[in-house]
Amino acid sequence: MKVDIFFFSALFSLMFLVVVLEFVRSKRLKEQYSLLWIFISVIMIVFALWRDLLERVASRLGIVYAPSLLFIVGILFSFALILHYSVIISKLHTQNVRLAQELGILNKKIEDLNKRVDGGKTIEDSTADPV
Amino acid sequence: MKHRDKTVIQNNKILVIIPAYNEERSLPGVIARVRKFPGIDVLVVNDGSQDATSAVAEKAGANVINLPFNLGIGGAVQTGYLYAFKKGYDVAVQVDADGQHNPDDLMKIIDPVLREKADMVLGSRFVETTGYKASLARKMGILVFSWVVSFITGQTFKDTTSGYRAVNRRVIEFFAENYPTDYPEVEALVLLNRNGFSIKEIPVTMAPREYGESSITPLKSVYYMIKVLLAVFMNLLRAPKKEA
Repeated sequence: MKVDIFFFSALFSLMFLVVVLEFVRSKRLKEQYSLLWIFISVIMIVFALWRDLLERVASRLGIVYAPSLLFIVGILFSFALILHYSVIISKLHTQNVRLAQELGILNKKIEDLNKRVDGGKTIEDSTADPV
Repeated sequence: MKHRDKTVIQNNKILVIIPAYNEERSLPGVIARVRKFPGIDVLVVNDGSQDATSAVAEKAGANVINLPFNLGIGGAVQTGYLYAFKKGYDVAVQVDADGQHNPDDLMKIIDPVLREKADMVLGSRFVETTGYKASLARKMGILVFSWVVSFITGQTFKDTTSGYRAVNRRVIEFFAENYPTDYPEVEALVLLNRNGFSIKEIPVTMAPREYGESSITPLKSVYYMIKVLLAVFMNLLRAPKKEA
């Protein structure tokens, strides 16, 4: 096999796939967030190794220099992933706000209850370490 | 008037929600003026202030909820609505902590809600001359929002950015689940209208800020305009919530 851009693309994609799978195995990456990464790695490997397929798809799309198809695929997937994360961040943001609100209300409830019990002399007051 | 106020208030649980971020100086005055009305509870939502907002509010006799970090005005106000919902309040009133809203108008904006004339009453600076002066840019912004919201809702609104508003139990429940996060005032009106709630705008007097500065800088106001308009138009594309 020639050591060229296709070789490097395949090698890099394979390494990438291994790293992603290792992250999932060691539970640093959740399965549901790893699927897109695994998918893009496999596609890149297939395109990089199966030159004939790449050239055929490229010429079909009117791309003269076939490897630039790899770039397009890579970039489009990156955009999709980033958008995917924006959606996840928005969801986390909403959940975060609600957690803070509930926490504030719960703290108030605890203080109110403390005041009612023993006129403000609380369990927290009587223990050695202040909360 | 006085007599009816008393009986109506006694039959309803009323909560004044004051969102506060670093407002230790103006807050005691605002709380004291609200507490002149008997039978009205005051809740200060301390939105992660760095100053003594929480202690000062407590000392002035308000209930205080301390948020663990700054959520912004929308998140803070919604905390108040969530609290009001959980505690079974019938009416909730939003009042700014900076002293711009005159607590003497409190009865004026609560009254139509109590008498079921509207689900929300909006205290407006512009329905009639009220002595409020704003910068030109601000007036322009307020005018644009007024046009957009009036166009969408088919009802004339003059002061859509006013944070002085009273709502009934149904809106409290709705806001506890659905409230916009930043710069929520304008969007909340569209949201309510789209979900079949009625809104009434009435004139109130407003003073300039006592202390501190408005949170809106020129750059932020551009973001403000774009964000709010986007949010408002997105609301048009959404189906109304099944409740309400």
